Amino acid sequence: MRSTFLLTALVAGPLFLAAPAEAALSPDELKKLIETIDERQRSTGDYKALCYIEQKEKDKNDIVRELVVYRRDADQKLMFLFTKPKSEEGKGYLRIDKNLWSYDPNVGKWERATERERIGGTNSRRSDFDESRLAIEYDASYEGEEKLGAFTVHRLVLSAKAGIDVAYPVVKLWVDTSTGNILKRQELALSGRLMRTAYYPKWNKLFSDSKKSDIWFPAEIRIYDEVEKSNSTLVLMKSVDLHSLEANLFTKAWLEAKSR
Amino acid sequence: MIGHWVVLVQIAFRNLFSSFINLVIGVIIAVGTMLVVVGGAMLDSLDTAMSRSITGSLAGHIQVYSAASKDELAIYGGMTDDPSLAAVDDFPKVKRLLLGVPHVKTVVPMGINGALLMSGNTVDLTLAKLRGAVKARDAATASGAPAADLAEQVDSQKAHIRQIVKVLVEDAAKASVLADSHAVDDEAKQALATVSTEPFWEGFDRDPYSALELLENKIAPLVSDADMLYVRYVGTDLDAYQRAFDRMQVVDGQPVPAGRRGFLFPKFQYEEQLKLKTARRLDRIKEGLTESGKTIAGDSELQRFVRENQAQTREIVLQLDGLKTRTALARLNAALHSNETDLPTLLTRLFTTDDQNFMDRYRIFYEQLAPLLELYRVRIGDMLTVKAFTRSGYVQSVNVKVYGTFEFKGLEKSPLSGVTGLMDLMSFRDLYGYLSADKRDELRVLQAASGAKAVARENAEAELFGGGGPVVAEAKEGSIDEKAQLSGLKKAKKSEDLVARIYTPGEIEDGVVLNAAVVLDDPKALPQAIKAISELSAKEHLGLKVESWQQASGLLGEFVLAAKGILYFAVTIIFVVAVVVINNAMMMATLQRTQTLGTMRAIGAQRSFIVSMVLLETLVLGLLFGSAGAAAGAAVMAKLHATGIGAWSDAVYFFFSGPRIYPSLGAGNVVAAFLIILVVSVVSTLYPALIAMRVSPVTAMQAEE
Amino acid sequence: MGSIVSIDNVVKEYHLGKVIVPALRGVSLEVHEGEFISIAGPSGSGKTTLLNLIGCVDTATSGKVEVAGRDTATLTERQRTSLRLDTIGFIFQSFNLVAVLSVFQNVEFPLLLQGRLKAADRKAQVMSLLDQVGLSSHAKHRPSELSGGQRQRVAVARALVTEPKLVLADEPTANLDSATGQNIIDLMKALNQRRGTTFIFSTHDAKVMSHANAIWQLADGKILGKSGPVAGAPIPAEARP
Ligand SMILES: Nc1ncnc2c1ncn2[C@@H]1O[C@H](COP(=O)(O)OP(=O)(O)OP(=O)(O)O)[C@@H](O)[C@H]1O
Ligand SMILES: [Mg+2]
Repeated sequence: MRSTFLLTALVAGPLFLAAPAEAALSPDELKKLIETIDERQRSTGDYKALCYIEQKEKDKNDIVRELVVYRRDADQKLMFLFTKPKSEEGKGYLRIDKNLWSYDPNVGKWERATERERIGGTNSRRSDFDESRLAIEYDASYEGEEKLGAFTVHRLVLSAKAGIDVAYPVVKLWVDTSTGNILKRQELALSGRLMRTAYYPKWNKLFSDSKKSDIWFPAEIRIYDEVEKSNSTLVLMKSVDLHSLEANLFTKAWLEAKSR
Repeated sequence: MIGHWVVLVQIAFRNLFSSFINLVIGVIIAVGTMLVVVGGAMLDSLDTAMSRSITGSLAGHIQVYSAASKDELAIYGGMTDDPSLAAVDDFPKVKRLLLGVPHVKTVVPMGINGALLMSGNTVDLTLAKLRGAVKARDAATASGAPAADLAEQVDSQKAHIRQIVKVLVEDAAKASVLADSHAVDDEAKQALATVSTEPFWEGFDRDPYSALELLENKIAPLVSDADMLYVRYVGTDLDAYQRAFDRMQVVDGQPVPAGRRGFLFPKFQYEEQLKLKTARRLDRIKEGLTESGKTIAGDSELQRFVRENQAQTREIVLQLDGLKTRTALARLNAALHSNETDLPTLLTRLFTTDDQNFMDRYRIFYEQLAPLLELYRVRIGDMLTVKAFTRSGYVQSVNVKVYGTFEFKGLEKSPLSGVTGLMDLMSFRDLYGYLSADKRDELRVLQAASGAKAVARENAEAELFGGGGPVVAEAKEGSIDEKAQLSGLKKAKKSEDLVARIYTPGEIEDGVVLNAAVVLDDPKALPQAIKAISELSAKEHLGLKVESWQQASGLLGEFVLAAKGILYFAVTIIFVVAVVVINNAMMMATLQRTQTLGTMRAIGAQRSFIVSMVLLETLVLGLLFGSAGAAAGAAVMAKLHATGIGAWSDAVYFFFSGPRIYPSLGAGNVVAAFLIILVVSVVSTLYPALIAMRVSPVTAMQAEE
Repeated sequence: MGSIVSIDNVVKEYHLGKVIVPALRGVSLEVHEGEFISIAGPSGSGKTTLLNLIGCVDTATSGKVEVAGRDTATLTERQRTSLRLDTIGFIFQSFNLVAVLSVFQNVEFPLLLQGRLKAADRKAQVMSLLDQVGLSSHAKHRPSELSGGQRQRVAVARALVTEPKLVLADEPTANLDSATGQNIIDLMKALNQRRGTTFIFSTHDAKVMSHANAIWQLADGKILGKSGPVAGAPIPAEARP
C-alpha cells in the first residue's frame, strides 16, 4: 500500500500545485464539503433499497437486474439480494468487515470477491450502493471551480489513504457549488488511466426518524465505461425503506435461506 | 531401330563410368533418392500418426457447425478466445440426416466453452468444509437422524482449523510479515488471539455460525494462496463420444457413467495446475533427472525447483491438522534420522536435495508424507463448481462431479490439447446459457417497467445537466418486501439431485449443440463425405458449415499443416538444389564432349539421336543410382521400423504422437521417390540436351585444340 | 564415270561480328566417281571450308553444291544428315573416335545409326573392314590404347563401313609422322582402287598429294587450277587385303 501512497502523492502533488488561486476552497472548507457529502448519505438506522441495474454492451443483449440492498451503516454491514430476473433470484453479496462474499444458490457456494468485483457482471461496484465513506477512505485536494452543463461545480481530486482497499485509488469529483451534491465522478486506476465516468443527475432525500434528518441517496447513476467505450451501466434506486431489519440479516445463513 | 537403342544404352552405360562428373551426379541422385524415400516415409508416418491423434481425439473426420456463426470453429482453441458459434438448429434432425450419408459412422454433438475456476485460499476451503459439516450435522440432528459420524467430521475439521491457527500464530510471533500485503495489524492479532483460546473452541458448538463468521472474515484473509484456474472444456454426449473416439483414455478414476452429468479433467492440466506445487516440482525434478538426463548440479531450472520446495513448505503445513502434523514429524524424523520438532524446518530438510539423495527423498515424500496430504486441489469424486459468463450475459455456476482424468494417446504432452476437459452436454448447456425466448421477454418487461431512458455518452452532460433544473427531490419512503419481489418459483436446484439424475439420449441431443463431430468408417472417404454433407445441408436447409478436421482443429490443425509445410519445403529445397547441381554437372559433361557430339552428327547421327542419348544417359544414371539410393533408404527405414525413434523433446513427442514412432515404408514412397528422381534428372538434363543437340557437325572438322 | 560432286561458283562467307570473312570466293569443280583427289593450298586457303560444303556439314552462301546428284541447298537438316550417313564417309585430322566405345563399336556405330543390318551381318562387315585396315586383332581395344596411326586406320574403317560412295578426309595425316601418314594414304589409295570409292582429301604435304589422281590447287578461296594425275606411291603391304 506504500506504493499507492507514493503514487497518490505523485498524482495529487502537481495537481495541488497547479490549483488555481481564484475561488479556492480553504482546506477546512474542503474537508467540510467531503464530510457533508458522507454525512448526508449516512443512515443511522437500517436501510433497504430496491435497485435496478441495466448494463448495455456492444453487440450483446442488455443485462437487466433487480436487487435489494441492505445496509446497517453503524456496523458497516451491507448485503445484496438479487430478485430479478428469475434465473438470478437468490444470488447475492455480503460484506463483512473487509470481506466481500458472493453467493450462488445454484451451487450453494460462497466465494470471496474483491473491492473491484463487478456487481452481477455489470460495471457497478460495491461502493455505488454502499454508504459514502469518502472522508475516511480518501485525502482530498481542490482543483478549482468550473461549469458542468448549467451548474457551477467544485472540482476535487481524491486519493486513497494508505492501507485502505478501495476499488479505485484516485477519484475526481464534480460537486455542485450551490447544493453540495456530487454531479459527476471519475475513477482512475493506479496507473492514472481513466476507468469510469459516472453522472448523478437525481438526488433524493428522505427523512429518517433515527437520524433525525434527511438521508440522501442517488436515485439515478449513469456509469460510462472508459475502457470498453461502448459499455454503459444505469443504476436506479427505485425506493428506499428505513424500517429496521432482522437482527441476523447480515449473515451467510440468512441469504442462503432466501433460496431454500 | 533396335540397334539404335542398343547403341544408345551402351553409350549411356559406358559414359556413366567414363566421367568423374557422372559419378558425382550419380551420388547426388543416390543420396537424393535415399532422402526422398526416408523423408517421404517419415512424413507419411508422422502424418498418419498426427492425423490419428487429432481425428481420434476430438475432431473426428469432419466437423459441422452453424453457417450463421461469426467465427471459425477451432476445436483445439485458436489464437485468442474461443470462437463464438451460433447453435446448430435441431441437432436430432441433423444427426438423423447425416447418418444417412455414405461412410458416416457416428455424429457426436459438441460445444466448446471455457470458464474460470476460482478457489479460495486453504483456510477458506477448510472453513467451507467445516461449515458444510456443521450444516449437515445440524440438519441430521434436527431431523432426528443419527449424527455421530457427522459430528466426528466437524471435530476433524475443527482440529485442522486449530492447527492452521497455531501455524498462523507462530508466524505472527516470528514477526514475519503475513502473506497478505497488509502488515499484521492489531485487529488481526487480536482475532488470532481470540481463536487460539481454549474457550473459543469450547464454545464453538454453541454458536458455530458466529464462530465460523469470525474465522472466515478475520482469520482466512490472513492467508493468500487463493488460486484461479482457466478450464476449457468440450461439452458432449459423453457416451457417444467415448464410443466414437478411440484415442481418449481415462487415466485416473472412471468414465462418466451413461447419461450422467460429469466432468473429466485433462491429465496434463490436472498434473500441471491442480497438483500440490511441491509434489509437482518433485515430479519435474525426477523427470529431468531420469528422462532428460539433466542433473540438479548442472541445471538452473532444477535448482530453482529445489529452492522453491525448500522455501514453500507452507502449502503442506497448512494442509495438516494437529494429529497429522505429529504423524508427519514422526515419519520424517524416522526416515531422515533426525529429531526435529518443527515441521517446516523438517520439510525444508527433506527438500534439500542434490543429485545423490534426490531419488531417496522423492520416495520418502511419496511414501511417508503424501498419504497425509491432498495431492490435488480437486480430487476425483469431488464436486467442481464451474462458473461461466453465459451468452446471455449473466453469470452461471454449475456443480459438476469430477469422475476422473483422461488423455489423448499421442497428445499427452501437448499443452494445446492437454487443457481441454470433457463435460456432459447438460452442464455445458447450463453454463453456455443461451438466451431463451422466455427470458428475453422477461427482461423486456423488466426494462419497460424501470422506465429507464438511454442517454448517449457523447451528450450525457448536456442532457443531464444542461437544463439546470433541480437535482434534488424529496423521496417518499417505500416499504420493500423482498418476499414479494422473489417469484418463489426459484428453489435451488439441489445439486445432489442433478448429479444423480440420468438423462435419456433424447434429452441429451435435444438442445443447444454448437458443433458436431462426424466420424467416418473410412478416412479416405473424407472428400466425398464433405461434399455429400454440404449438398445435403443445402438441400435440406440445415445451414451447416462443413469442415475437414484439419480446418476445424484451429491452432493444432494449423500447427500440423505448418509442420508438414516446412517438411515439404525442405524436400523441395533439396530437389531444387539437386536440379541445379545436376544441370550444372550435365552442362559441364556436354561441353566436354562437343567434339564427340559433332563427330556423331557429322557421321550421320540425327539431332533426335543426340537428345535421346543425353537424356537416356541421365535416365540410366537415375535408375541405377536411384535404385541404389532407394535400396539404402529402404534399409534405413527397415532399421527405423524395427528400433523406432524415441521422442527427444515434447514438441517431437507431439509429432510422433507418442513416446516412440515406428515409421514404416510404403511401396508408394519408393515409387514416388523413383518418379520424383527420374523427373528431377530428366528436367535437369533438358537444357544440357538442348545444348548437345545444337552442337554443329562442323565442330568435328575443327582440329582439337 | 558419273560425277559425284559438282560445285558451281560457290561462295562461302563467315560472319565474325560485323566483319565478313570470305573463305571461298567462287569455286567450281567436278569430281567423278572413283577419283582419288587431293585439295592442296596454304593454310587459310579454304580447304576445310570446301570439304565442309561437300560433306554437307555446312551450307554455301551462294552457288550450287551437288553431292551424289542432289543439290544440298534444297535439303533439310535431317536429309543432309541422312545423306552424310549413307553416302559420305569422314576421316578427320584428329581421328575423332568415340573414346568410350571400343574399336569395334566405333566402326559399327554408323551401321547402328543406319539400322539396316542385323547384328551378325554388322559384325561380319565390321570385322572385314578391320581386317582390311589390319586391326582385326584390336577390335576390343579402346581408342586410347592405340597409336595415332592405328586410330586413324580405325577412322578409315569407320568411314568405309557403310560402303559410302564418297570419303572426305581433312588433312588425315597432319597429326601423324610422315611414315605413318604415308601408310594411311596407301591404305586409302588401296581402298580406292579396290572398291572404287571416291576419296577427296586435303593436305599441305606435297608427298601426300603426290598419291592423288588429280590435285586441285586452292589459294585465297579460289581454285588456282587442277594438275593432272601424278604417279602413285606403292601401296604398303600391310594395307593390302
Ligand atoms: N568458322 C569460321 N568462322 C570465321 N572464319 C572462318 C571459319 N572457318 C574458317 N574461317 C576462315 O575462312 C578461311 C578459310 O579457312 P579454312 O579453315 O577453310 O582454311 P584451310 O585451308 O582449311 O586452312 P588450314 O590449312 O589451316 O586448315 C580462313 O581465312 C579462316 O580464317
Ligand atoms: Mg583446314
